Amino acid sequence: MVRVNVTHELRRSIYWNFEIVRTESLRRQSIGSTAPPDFSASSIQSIEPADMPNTPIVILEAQFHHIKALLARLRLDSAARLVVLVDKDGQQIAVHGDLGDLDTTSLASLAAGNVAATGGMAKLIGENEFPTLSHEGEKESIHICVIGRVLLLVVFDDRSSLGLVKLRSKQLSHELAKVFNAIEQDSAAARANSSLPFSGITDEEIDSLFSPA
Amino acid sequence: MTFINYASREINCKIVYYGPGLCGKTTNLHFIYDSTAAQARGKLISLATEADRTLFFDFMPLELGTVRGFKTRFHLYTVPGQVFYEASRKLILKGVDGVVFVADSQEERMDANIESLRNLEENLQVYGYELMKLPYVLQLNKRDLPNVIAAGELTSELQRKGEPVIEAVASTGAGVFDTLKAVAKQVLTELRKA
Repeated sequence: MVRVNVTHELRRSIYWNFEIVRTESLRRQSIGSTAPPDFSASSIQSIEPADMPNTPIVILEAQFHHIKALLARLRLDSAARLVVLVDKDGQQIAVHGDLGDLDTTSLASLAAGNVAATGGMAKLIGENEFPTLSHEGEKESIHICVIGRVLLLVVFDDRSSLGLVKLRSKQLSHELAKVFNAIEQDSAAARANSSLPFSGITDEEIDSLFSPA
Repeated sequence: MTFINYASREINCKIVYYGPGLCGKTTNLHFIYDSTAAQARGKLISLATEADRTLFFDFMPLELGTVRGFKTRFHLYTVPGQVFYEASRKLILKGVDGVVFVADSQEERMDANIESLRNLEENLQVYGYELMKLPYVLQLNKRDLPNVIAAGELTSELQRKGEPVIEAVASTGAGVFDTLKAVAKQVLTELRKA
């Protein structure tokens, strides 16, 4: 196994640059064009790859839609209420299903905390991590599957079963792992081609956030 | 780690309030929660013991406004301050964008402040961060108590790199938003430097 040592400076640089993403369509649009890029059509998320936890990656719009389609399929196949993809830092990447008034921001944060805590326990007993976690409630239940740097979280009720959700999640996790492997490979190029939409932020713009309305 | 979502046009940043036990980290979050319009904040999640001591973390998403068409949302976390929650405390720092160190100004808590600050530096290094390069604010809390150390003395003991030092009384809200503003501004300024 090759271990890549990234200096702190470089890592920080990558950290602050990772969000800068363009969709394939956006890249085509901006080549040879002097018009400002339109980010409104972009659906982009960024996470870190599984084996380089400090190296952020870029998800292009097509890949994002592919992920969303996979989540939709899992929800259907497992008869789940909701499927959420979260990164291990607690940021929600994508969600599909019956949201209702569910606070998915808190759900993502708590899921990440949950996985971090059980991962800590795993290490104490000599395991690397616990790849799946299940919490069964009276009516609603949660199953979490750890896939590298992301967590696949399924919320389901008595219309489904833990066995079915586990099976379908495991099947999908292989596909998601492949998607994220491809994303990782594409990421270096995407980062190299990226621009900096926030590089021009002025002090006034930042201060305006804190001004009374 | 700052997370930018172009689909929903949001910037999400993670701020962690760190400090020794009972220094007022959770009180900072409670004041922010109570003083913010409902539409600008999410739920305040507190994973606490029955005695209201933070067991794992407190969490609260807060939306500050829009910059360059992107909503800026800060995810505010606290860590458990008690020494024996070290393992949990370390986990919260993962992916952090900015840190507020809440110091307890009382004379008898000076050693606890120094120990917690040293612990912060060590735990940041676990993730490859350096306090010297991270957006960071030092808050001197509990300034209303009678047995406090002079602000200048506390600053000379605890300030690491010329970071903003803000005197506060978190229970009344004094200095709480100044602290948040100081760290949030540094985080956003880092985006510009990228």
